[in-house]
Amino acid sequence: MKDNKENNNTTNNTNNNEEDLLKISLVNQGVFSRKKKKCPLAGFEISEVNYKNLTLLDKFLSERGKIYPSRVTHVSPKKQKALAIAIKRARQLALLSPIKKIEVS
Amino acid sequence: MALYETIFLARQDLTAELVDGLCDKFSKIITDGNGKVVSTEYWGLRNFAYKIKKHSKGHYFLMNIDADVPTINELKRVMGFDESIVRSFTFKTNQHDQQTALFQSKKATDQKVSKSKDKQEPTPLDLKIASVRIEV
Repeated sequence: MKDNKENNNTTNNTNNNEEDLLKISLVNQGVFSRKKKKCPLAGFEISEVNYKNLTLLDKFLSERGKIYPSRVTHVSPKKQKALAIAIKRARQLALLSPIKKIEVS
Repeated sequence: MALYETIFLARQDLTAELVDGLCDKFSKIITDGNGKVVSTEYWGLRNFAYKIKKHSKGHYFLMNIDADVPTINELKRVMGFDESIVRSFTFKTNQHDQQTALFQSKKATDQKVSKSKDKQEPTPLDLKIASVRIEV
């Protein structure tokens, strides 16, 4: 409880732009706010998220070759769906590997 | 009429003329079925990310098509029988892309092999992609 209250004061003082903040209220606790996370693909059209832009797709893969969840990358649901389809198509065409081996040093 | 794009991976040991021959063969099927080949792209001889039917390399060829469903079905059927094709896919799209990042030439015979990589100016899309940063 004490920690939460201290956090409230600091965030409210530092961030003045109300549009960028997401206010969350909890039961028996004060209202606290945190920064809104922006979609990293906000500037892209959906047609640009396709299986031909391999450099773009590579950024959303882990070092094992798995797709990062949108919970981690904050990609919007529409773009995440397009991204998943694009990556799966690239895998079928052998442009991307479905799994990568990590070299043990 | 609807827009499609077809990609086929041809065997590694084919010459450029034979790859173009495959392209001509398929475009004839489409034009016979009242379709249209909008554009073609040759992506060069690329390494596969994994082995397909014991092949580790192949010619990538993309065809942008405007055709009806029966002609597309016929195209898929013929591609399935062709022995010089390792794998092929047909996707339906809303719009055809302009030259993609993997583009090398329109036909396989036009491809220029340059060992010294010419540094081309990055397109606006490349710059946009470079600005994307994912923190995990």
